[in-house]
Amino acid sequence: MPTITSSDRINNPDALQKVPTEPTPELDSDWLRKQAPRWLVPVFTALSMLEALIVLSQAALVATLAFDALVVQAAFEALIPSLWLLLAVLLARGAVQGVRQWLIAGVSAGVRIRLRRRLLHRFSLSGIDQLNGTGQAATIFDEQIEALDGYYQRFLPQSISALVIPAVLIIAVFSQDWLAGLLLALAVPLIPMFMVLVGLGAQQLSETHYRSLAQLSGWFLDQVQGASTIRLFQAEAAALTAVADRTEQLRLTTMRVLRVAFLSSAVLEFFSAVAIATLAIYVGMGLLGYLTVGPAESLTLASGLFVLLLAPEIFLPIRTLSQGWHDRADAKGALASIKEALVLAPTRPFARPDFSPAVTEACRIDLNQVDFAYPGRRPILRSKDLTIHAGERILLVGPSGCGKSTLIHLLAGFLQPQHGGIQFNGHHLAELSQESLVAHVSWLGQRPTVFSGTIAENIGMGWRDANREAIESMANIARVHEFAERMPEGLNAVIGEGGHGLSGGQAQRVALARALLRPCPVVLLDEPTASLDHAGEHAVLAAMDELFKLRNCTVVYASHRRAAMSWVDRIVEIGDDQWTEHPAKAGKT
Amino acid sequence: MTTWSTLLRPSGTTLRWMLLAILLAMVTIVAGALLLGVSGWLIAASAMAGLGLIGMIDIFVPGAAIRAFAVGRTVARYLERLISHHATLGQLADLRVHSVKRLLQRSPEALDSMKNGDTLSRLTRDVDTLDHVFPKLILPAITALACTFLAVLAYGWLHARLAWITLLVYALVIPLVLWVAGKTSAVSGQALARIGPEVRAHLVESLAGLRTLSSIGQVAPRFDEVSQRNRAFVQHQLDLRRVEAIAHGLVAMLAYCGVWLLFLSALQLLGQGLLSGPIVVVLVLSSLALVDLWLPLANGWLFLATCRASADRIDQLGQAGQDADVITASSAAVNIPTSHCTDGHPDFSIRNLCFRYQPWGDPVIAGLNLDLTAGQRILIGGASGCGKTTLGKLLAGLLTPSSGVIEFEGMPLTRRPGPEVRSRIGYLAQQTVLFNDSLANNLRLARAGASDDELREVLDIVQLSPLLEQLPDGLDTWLGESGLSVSGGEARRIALARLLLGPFDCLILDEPMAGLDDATAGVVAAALDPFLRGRTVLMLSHERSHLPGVDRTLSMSQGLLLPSNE
Repeated sequence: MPTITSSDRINNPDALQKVPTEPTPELDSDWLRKQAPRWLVPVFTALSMLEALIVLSQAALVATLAFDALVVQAAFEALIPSLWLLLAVLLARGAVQGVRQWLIAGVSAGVRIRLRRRLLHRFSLSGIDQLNGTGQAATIFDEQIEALDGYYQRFLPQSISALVIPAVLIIAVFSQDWLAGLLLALAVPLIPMFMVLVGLGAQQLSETHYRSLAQLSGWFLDQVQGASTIRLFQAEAAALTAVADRTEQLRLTTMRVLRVAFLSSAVLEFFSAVAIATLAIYVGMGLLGYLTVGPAESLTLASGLFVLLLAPEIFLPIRTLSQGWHDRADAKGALASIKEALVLAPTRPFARPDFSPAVTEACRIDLNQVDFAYPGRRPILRSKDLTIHAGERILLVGPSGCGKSTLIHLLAGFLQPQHGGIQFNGHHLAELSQESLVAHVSWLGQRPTVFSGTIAENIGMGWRDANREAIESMANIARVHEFAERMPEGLNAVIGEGGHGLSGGQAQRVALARALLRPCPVVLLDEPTASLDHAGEHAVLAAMDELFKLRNCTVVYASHRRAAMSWVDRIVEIGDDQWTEHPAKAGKT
Repeated sequence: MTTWSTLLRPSGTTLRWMLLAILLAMVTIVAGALLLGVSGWLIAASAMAGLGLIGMIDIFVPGAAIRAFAVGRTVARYLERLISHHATLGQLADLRVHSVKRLLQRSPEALDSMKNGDTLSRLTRDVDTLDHVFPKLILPAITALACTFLAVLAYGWLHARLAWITLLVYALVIPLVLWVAGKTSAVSGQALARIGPEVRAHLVESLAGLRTLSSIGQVAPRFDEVSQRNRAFVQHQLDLRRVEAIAHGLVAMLAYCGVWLLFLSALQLLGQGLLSGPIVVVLVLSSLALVDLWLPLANGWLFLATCRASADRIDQLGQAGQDADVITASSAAVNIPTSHCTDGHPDFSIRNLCFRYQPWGDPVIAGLNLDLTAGQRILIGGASGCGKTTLGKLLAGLLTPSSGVIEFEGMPLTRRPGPEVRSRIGYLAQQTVLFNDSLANNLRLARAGASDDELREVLDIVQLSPLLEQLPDGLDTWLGESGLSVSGGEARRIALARLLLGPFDCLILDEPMAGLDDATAGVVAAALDPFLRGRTVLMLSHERSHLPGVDRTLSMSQGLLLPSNE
């Protein structure tokens, strides 16, 4: 059996080569935009240009048609070619809008699918223990990535149009009448300034509004979760009044904020309306000959109408953008936690994908100077040494919180020691490839999960090559039959979401059968019999004894219960400062 | 009333605000159309007058009108946004009251079993979704229809042909296209509503079992499946979006076609001398407003589908597990005299009680027998997990026995009407439930009409008077998040005080002193003792000291009662 090879590598984990994981994603402020495909900005700029040109042609055709009909007083027949052209232009405008939407829908869907896949990849490398529970991880995957939708679906394309279209149109107005162009350029007191103004107002609006809505949701959830208490006290009427009162309060506070916040968009509306009004009066006076300054004298109905028609089109993209501002705020809000999840540290940074030593029949485990502390807490293991011989069984005992489960998690590779190392038959556990680790270790945790599917599927997923016979015999050993027999479908009964609910103890028995099905040299069992009565526990232990003898397994077993004391070879009592070893109680089966 | 009809038929005040918002939206649109129209008229008339084609025109009246429309549109738009938000927030209240009403139709038993699942937070999310139905769907749809009919009237006044065109394009063809788009997207919408919760459940299960999956090397295949399901979900969304995109393109083309047809007819009518030149310009410029009205409606289908699904889920909530006695029964609590009932003899007789959480589960209570005579106090001890809490819930009517019977005053508890049971048997649950509300309101849950002095009295029994004196807002102090954060022991005592305020002549107390330090528990127990006199009390506690005096102590183990070894 190989002994420890190079002690310096164990005592100095820094000597272990960290396998380069994928580079940390760039987390600058452009991150959101960079998630979109590269073609997006050029293609949407081109589409906006096209739309601007269509708007120009539309205005020019309407203006010249009006000029020909009203001033030249051409016959209707003479107008027909231009009218057909106008129809084509108008239809093209509708078509371009449809195409834009078609394209952007695909972009948003693609980004969300890609980000979710990346997130899952990250979760598979890093686990979710660094996050605030399953709930937070699910929320990031589901709601928060969904919150990016508005940014890609609306804000991003609109911000491109809001830059391109007004610029092109103002240049066109300048070419017809520089005074009108100047007027528009002033009325849009330089669009960026507007954007800041609107942006600030809209941001304040959405922040306040969304915060108070979120508060209301929280409070409402609190009421809903206390519904059984309300029913017990028969206080239904009071609860309904409280709901009504509370929303009324929300209305009062929100309206106070909105009164101010809506002003900023009103300013934008106002400038747009005033620009149209001023242009109309300027053009009108120029045509009547009241104005003799600058280009006013050369105005015609055609150029005047052209300029007037463009005025609202200049403001339209900016107004649309200001309405979509909360999409950006939503996305930015969600972004922080998405980014955080994407850079979670990997659970096994030293794993070498190509390092898969053969799984031998029996496995010896060495702990060398292992230190471990959960982040921000005092060390739970300090310079611990332990050797577990191949085929040996040890029992971990000690008060709850002493580190039994932590040690088991270290052996299962879920946690990494801060210092020191663990070896399986002389191979560093930290360096084993994930596949090799899985082949070495069978683990049963304290709160195991059952997945929706049949009981047999749940057991069988432990080892893909297992046949039905093996599954049934493991179900027997773990006493799954005891309750499965009460279900009409037996082991084929569907459990989990949408099926039979299992109690914690029953789920644990299914999970034990799953763990036993795996023919691994190392077996880690954390309180496997907690839910069984004494007779049941003895039966399970006896059956496992036979199985593990046959397989020559190395077993680490954590338990509070006495029955296991005679089942193992050695007992390790885990204390605050030191571990004490005891011989097993007599009467090992 | 279903949730959807609550949304479509708002209550009186809300409805008035909504109508006002719709009116203001119409004013905004009309003012905008007229701003552009009159501006066009001014330019056309000036051009013609400048060339001597028509007589000289007065520029001041149209000039003033243009300025008025410019200001009017801005003001109307500002007010419309304000009022529509006001109306939306009003509907928010209606919707929440409606949903809570639905929820409270369920029996306490059903509600208690829902507490730990995802159902309630999903209800909250669904209600949040429905908040936007008015501003995003109803307001634009009604405004578009109403303004179209205004246009029909106005253009009809000029010439009937123009009215027919408007009616045909904007009131018939475009709504038809929208309806077809809605029908086409309905399948995807339903799929989305069905798949969404499934995908979420599958995801949550995978994340919760991540370590298990990792230990058996199944993370990659499982996550591939999560990814696939998510892709299928997003694909359905995309299908809806693509229908929306096509609908948007079609509606835009049709709406512009309408403008073009109006322009064409107006030019024809001009040639026939039936319309004046400037009016043609007014017509074409004002009709552009119709395009802006109808376009946003093409994009509401995805949202509509989401809303329908949310509304259906809220409806389903009220259907299953309904209780016979509905909300109006709550007034019963008020009618019961404030001193506890003395005419009844509240006694329990439990025979062969068995309880399993599922038919295939292990029995939690296995053939239990117990007599609790009126006015008696019994303490049941036992290790955690022995079935004490289950027994308490059975006696409080929060669970139904699998077999055996609990008789209350000689009649099975399950056959007694819910309101009567709930106004006689008080239950202190193991988990303290307090609401984000004022201290007084939390207490008055038990008796709505209790005076401040009565509240102080019960707070004094549980030794919270010193705390109350420190609170600047006294009884009006807000509890929970944004308010006073109480310790576990204080919360426990508030819950106890609340129970004391109720009309109960029978009390089930599950771990009454949990979270209290020994000294406080001793004082509270002593103060509680006179209050409990004359009432039938069952205490469930793994601790035996620091409790009010009892007549009998029993011990529970593996679902059975044993005489206590003390």
